[in-house]
Amino acid sequence: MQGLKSSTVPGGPQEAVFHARGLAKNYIMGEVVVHALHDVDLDLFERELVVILGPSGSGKSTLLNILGGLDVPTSGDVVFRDHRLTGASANELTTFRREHVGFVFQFYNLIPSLTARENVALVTDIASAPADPVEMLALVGLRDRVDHFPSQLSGGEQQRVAIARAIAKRPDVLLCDEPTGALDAATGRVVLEALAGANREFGTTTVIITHNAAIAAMADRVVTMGSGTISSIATNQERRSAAEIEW
Amino acid sequence: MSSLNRKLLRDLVLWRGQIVAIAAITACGIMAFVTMQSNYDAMYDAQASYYRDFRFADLFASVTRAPNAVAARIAALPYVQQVQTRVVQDVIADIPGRQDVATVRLIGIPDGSQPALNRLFLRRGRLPSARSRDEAVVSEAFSQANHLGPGSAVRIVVNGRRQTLRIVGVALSPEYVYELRGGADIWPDSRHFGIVWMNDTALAAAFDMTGAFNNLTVSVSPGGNQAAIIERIDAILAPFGSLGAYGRADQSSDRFVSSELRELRAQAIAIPLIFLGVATFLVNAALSRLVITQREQIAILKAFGYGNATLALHYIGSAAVCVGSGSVVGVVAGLWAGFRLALIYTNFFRFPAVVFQARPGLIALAVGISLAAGVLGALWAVRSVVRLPPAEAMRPRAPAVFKATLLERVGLAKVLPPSVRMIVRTIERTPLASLLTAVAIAFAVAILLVGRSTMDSVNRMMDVQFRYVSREDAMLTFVRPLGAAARLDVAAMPGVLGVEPFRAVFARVSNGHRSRRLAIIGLPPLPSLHRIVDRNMHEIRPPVRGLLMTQALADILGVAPGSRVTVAVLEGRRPVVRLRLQHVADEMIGLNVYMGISELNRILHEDGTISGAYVKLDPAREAAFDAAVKATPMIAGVSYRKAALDEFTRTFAESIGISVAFILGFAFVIAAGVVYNSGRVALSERTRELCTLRILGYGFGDTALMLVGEQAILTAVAIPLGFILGNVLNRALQPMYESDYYRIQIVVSSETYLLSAGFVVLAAAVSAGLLALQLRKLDLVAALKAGE
Repeated sequence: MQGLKSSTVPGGPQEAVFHARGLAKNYIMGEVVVHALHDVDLDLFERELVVILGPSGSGKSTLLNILGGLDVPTSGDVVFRDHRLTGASANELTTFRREHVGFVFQFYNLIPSLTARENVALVTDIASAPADPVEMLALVGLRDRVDHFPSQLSGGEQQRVAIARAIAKRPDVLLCDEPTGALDAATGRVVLEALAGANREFGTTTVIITHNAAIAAMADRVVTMGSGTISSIATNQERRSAAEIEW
Repeated sequence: MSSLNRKLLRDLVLWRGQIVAIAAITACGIMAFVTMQSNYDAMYDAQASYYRDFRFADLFASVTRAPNAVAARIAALPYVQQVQTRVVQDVIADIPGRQDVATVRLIGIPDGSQPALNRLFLRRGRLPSARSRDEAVVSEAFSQANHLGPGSAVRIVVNGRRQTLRIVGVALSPEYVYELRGGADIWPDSRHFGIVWMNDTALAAAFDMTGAFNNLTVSVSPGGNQAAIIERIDAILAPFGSLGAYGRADQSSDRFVSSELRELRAQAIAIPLIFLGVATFLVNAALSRLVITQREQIAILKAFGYGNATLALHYIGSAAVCVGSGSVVGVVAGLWAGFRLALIYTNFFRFPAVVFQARPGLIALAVGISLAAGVLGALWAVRSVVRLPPAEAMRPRAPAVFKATLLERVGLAKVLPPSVRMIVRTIERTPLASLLTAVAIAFAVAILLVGRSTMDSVNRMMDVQFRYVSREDAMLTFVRPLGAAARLDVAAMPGVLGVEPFRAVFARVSNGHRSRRLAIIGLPPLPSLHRIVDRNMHEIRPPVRGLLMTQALADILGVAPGSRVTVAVLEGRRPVVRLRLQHVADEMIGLNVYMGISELNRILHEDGTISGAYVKLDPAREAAFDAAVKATPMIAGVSYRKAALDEFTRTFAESIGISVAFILGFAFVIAAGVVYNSGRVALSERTRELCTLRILGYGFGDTALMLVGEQAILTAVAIPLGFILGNVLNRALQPMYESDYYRIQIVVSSETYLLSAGFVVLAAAVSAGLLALQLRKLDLVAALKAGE
C-alpha cells in the first residue's frame, strides 16, 4: 500500500474527494480475460492536480473511466464523497456525471453542429449552478471565438473549448484523458495552462492522464501506473507552470 | 472468396437493419407489381379462354316475337358464323322459405343440349333432359346466395300461373360472368336476381312463343365488320319489334368485366412504379451514407491499390444484394397475393377456372426491374467513392462543417435550445438527403391517402346513389308497358306508401355517325323517390321538353346543351324524332338519357303508359307487399334498394378491407423503413457525439430525442407534403377509375387525412423505438475509443 492518506497536499490537510479501494476490472475479449486493473487503491483530494502517468495499456484510462462513472469495476469500491459509485444504476451514474464531473477528451469531442458558446451551453443547460459560457471561454482565451463552429477552430482551440465546457458546470472533479495527445507541444502548453488555471481558479480536483512524463512536473502528485496497477505515487515539492514544461 | 467480398458480406451483416428495410420496401414494390400483374394475367386468361371455349357470342338482339325462320336469313349474312335463337324472359320467382321476391331470367337452351353460343359450364348436376318441361339449371351465384342446388325447387310465375321448376344443375355462362340484371343496376344482387336455363321448347310454350324466338345471339367470323352486320340484323328484325342489336361493348356482363380488366392493367403499372421509385431512392440514400461512414476504409483500399471500378462494383454489389433479396421475397409474396386476389375476383366474376400461373417472364421482369432500381440507386453513391482521394485516409477527420442556419440568420435561434439547433443544423447541412427522406415518408402518407380515398370515393358514390338518387324501397318492372291505370293498381298494393311511375324505352340516340343504343327514362316533373343527382350532389329536374343526358354520354356523342340529337325509338311504332338536348348532368353512374314522362309518352303516341314504378313501402307491411307481387302476373321483376346496398356493402367491404390492409402494410414498411434507415445512418454518423453527450451528463432520453428529433421533424414536414402528393396522385390516377359507366368523384375524407398521418407517425415511432434500443446498447467508452 502506498499510504495515500498520509500524503500531504500543498495548502494543508484536505478532505478526500474519491476513495477507491481494491479496484479490479476484467474485460472478456472473446476467450481471453484481460485484467485491465487489479488491486488499485487511490484517494484524490480537494483542490489537487494529479497526473496519472503510464504507457498505453497500463490501465490509466480504465481507472479514469471508473472514477468518472463511465464504467463500473469488476470488484472493489469507489466512493465519491458520500456517494458509493460501485453498484450505482445507470441513471444514478448519469446524474453523478452531470452534477460532479467535468471531462476533457483526447479528441475534444465537441459537437460539430454547435458553436463554441453552444458547446459550453450544452453543459450549463443541465448543470445546477453553472458559470457563464462566455466567461469560461474567456478564461481559456477564446473570448473572440465564441461564435465559431468546431470546423473553424484549430485543434488547440477546440481542446480549450472542451476545457471551458468541462469547467463551466463548476464540477467537483475534472478528468482529462490525454488532453494534449493530439496537439503539438506549443498548443499543448496552452491547453495545460488552461487546465492549471481552472484548477487554480476554482480549486477543482483535476486528474490528467498522459503518457508524457514531462507533464508530471505541473502536478501536485504523480501517480505512475503499469500493467493495471499503481506502481508509485510521488508528491512534487513544487509545481511548475505549464509554460515551463518542455517536450 | 476474395477479401473484398468477405468485407461486403460482413458489412451487410453489420448493416442488416438497413438491408432489411431496403429489401422490405423493394419487396413491397415487387409484390405490388407481381400481385397486380399476375392477377391481371390470370383474369385476362380466364376471360379469354372462357369466351373462346364456351363460345361467347359477339352480337345480341331482342325482339318482341319473331318466327324461327328469320334466323336463317341472319345466318346467311356474310361473316355471320353461328346464330342461336332462344326465348328469354324475366319472371318473378318464389324461393322456398323466403318472403321477399326474387327475379329470375329464364333463358332457353336447345332441348337437352348445349346452345351453339354461350355454352354452359356445368359446375354440378346435369342439363335438363330432352323431354323435360320443368327441369332447370341455375346460375352459380344465385344458387349460392339462395342455397339452391340439384334437388331444390323454385316456384316461378309464368303468365299468371305458378309453376315449379326442379333444379338439376348449377352452371356458369360467359354471358353472365358478372351477373347483372342490366339497365341501371351497378351491383349484382344475387339473392334477388339470377339466371335459370331450361329447355327452349318448354319455355316457348309457356310464353306463347312456340316456333318463334324473342332473343338471338350471333357469332361473327374474324374480319367481319360488326357495325355493318348490326345494321343488317336490325333491318331484318325491325318488323318483329327489335330493340336493336348490340355488341359486347353494350352487353352488361362483358362491359363490366372488360372495363375492370382495363382498370387492373393500368393500376398494375402505375401503383408498383410508386413503390419501386421509393425503393430506388432508399437504396441511394442508404448507400450514399454508408459510403460516407466508410470513407476511411475506402481511402485505405484505394491506397492499397484497389481500382475505382472494383470498389464501385463492390458497392453496387451490396445494393444488388439488398434489392435482390427483396425482390425474391416480393415475387413469392406477390404470387401468393395475386392468387388470393384472383380468388377474391372470382367472387365477382364467375369464371369456370382461373388458372394461376407463375410466369417466368413476369418473374424475370420483376427481378430485372428491382435490380435496375438498385443499381440506379447505387450509382449516385458510387460517384462519391470514385471521387474520394486515397490521401483522405491519412488525414485525421476534420469536424463536419456547420454554418449558422437560415433559422438563425432570421433571428429565431435565440429561442431554440442547443439540442434543437443541432437537429436543425444537421437537416440544413444535408438538405438533399433530408428532402429525399421527407419525400420518401411523404410517399407513404400519399399511398395511404390514395388507397383510402378510393374507399371514400366509392362510399361517396354509393352515398349519392343510395341516399340522393335511389330513395325508393323497391323498383317494379312490368312484363310489358301498361296503361296509366297500372299506377293506381300499384298504389293499391298492400304496404305501398308512395308510387312514382317511370317509362323506359329502348332507342338509338345519335348525332351524325356517333350513336348509342340505350334506354331513355321518362320521369315525372318533380321526382322524389328516384331523382337525378350530379356528382356535386345537386338535384336536376327532368326537362319538360327535350332531353337531359349524362356528361359521359354527351362526350361520346359530341353534343352540348342546345344541340339536337336524333332519337330512333326501338319499340312500339318506332318513331324517329329530333330532340333538343336541354341539359347535361354530371351523373356518377351510367350513360343515361332522361325525359319528362309525358313528353316521352307524347313521342310514343301513348296516353300515360308506364314501364314500371318506384315504390315507397311501409316497413311493417313488406311481407304483404311481397306476397302481392308474387300474385301479380304483370310484374316481371322487383329490385330492392336495401338488398342491393347490403350486398354491395358486404362484398365491397370485404374486398376493400383486403386492399386497405395491403396498403396499410406497404405504407408501414415504407415509413418505418425510411425513418429507420435515415435514423440508423444518423446514429452511425453521430455515435461519438451522442456518447459524448451521455458522458457530459445527458440522460438516455435526452440523447434519444436528439437522435430521433431529426426524423420527427422530417416526418412532420412529410405529412403535409404527403397530403399534397396524394392529391396529385389521385388526380393522375383518376382517369384510370373512369369508364363509360363510372365517373368517380375523388373524395378524401378527414378520417383519411387523419389515418394517413397517424399511421405514418405510428410507423415512424416504431422505428424510432428500434433506434432508441440501439442507442441504449452503445458502449460509451468503447464508442469514444473507436475514434472515427
